[in-house]
Amino acid sequence: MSTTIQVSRRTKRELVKFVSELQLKLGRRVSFDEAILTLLRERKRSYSARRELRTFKGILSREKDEVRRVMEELRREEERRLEMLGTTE
Amino acid sequence: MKCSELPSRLAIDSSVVLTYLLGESLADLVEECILFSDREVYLPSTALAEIYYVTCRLKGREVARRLVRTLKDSETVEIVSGLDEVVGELKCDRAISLADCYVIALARTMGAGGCVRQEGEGARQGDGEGVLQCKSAVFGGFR
Repeated sequence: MSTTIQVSRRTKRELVKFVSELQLKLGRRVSFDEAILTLLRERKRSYSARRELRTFKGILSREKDEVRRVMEELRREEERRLEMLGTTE
Repeated sequence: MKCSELPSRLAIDSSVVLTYLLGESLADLVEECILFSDREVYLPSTALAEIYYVTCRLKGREVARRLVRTLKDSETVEIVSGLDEVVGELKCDRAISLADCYVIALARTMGAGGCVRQEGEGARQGDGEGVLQCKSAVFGGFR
């Protein structure tokens, strides 16, 4: 059963834009109903991911020195690689 | 540094996310003012690879995978790729690391300010935390 809701012109414009993006992505026709449901699902996924992201805070707190060492190693490798490229001629 | 002093659009590099993972007092700042703020935050895709790599080395593949997926799904940062030519130009003109070139290129492309973590002398000796260095307009190197 369908029902009617009122939205402003601006919201409708944004919805139409989203519907066409979704159609391009899915390769088929998409209704306003499906587009709104997709938006709500995406919001739910984003909320739950944000909650999960907070659990990562401090996961490397016992590995400060190792983080520094790994990053320095990474930068050194990059420099070494660029130096090597410079001496191949 | 106060939250309100930061620009509304920010380009960050892996060091900012790693600061959050390190959980030092700076992590609170990253959490409140960057990751969970109303700002538009951009991260180069190369930085995402670095975050994956560091986490994978220290916590294993599964944690790294979960972290990257969560970061993407949370939409707290927008992952940007395709900066190659701007990065190449910057690297050609300046003696700075590719990682710095990426964040500068990103800031310029998105019309954003830039934010990176800078290590102090004390931090190198393991008794300091470093600082977050943020600029509203990025013209040169950060470090």
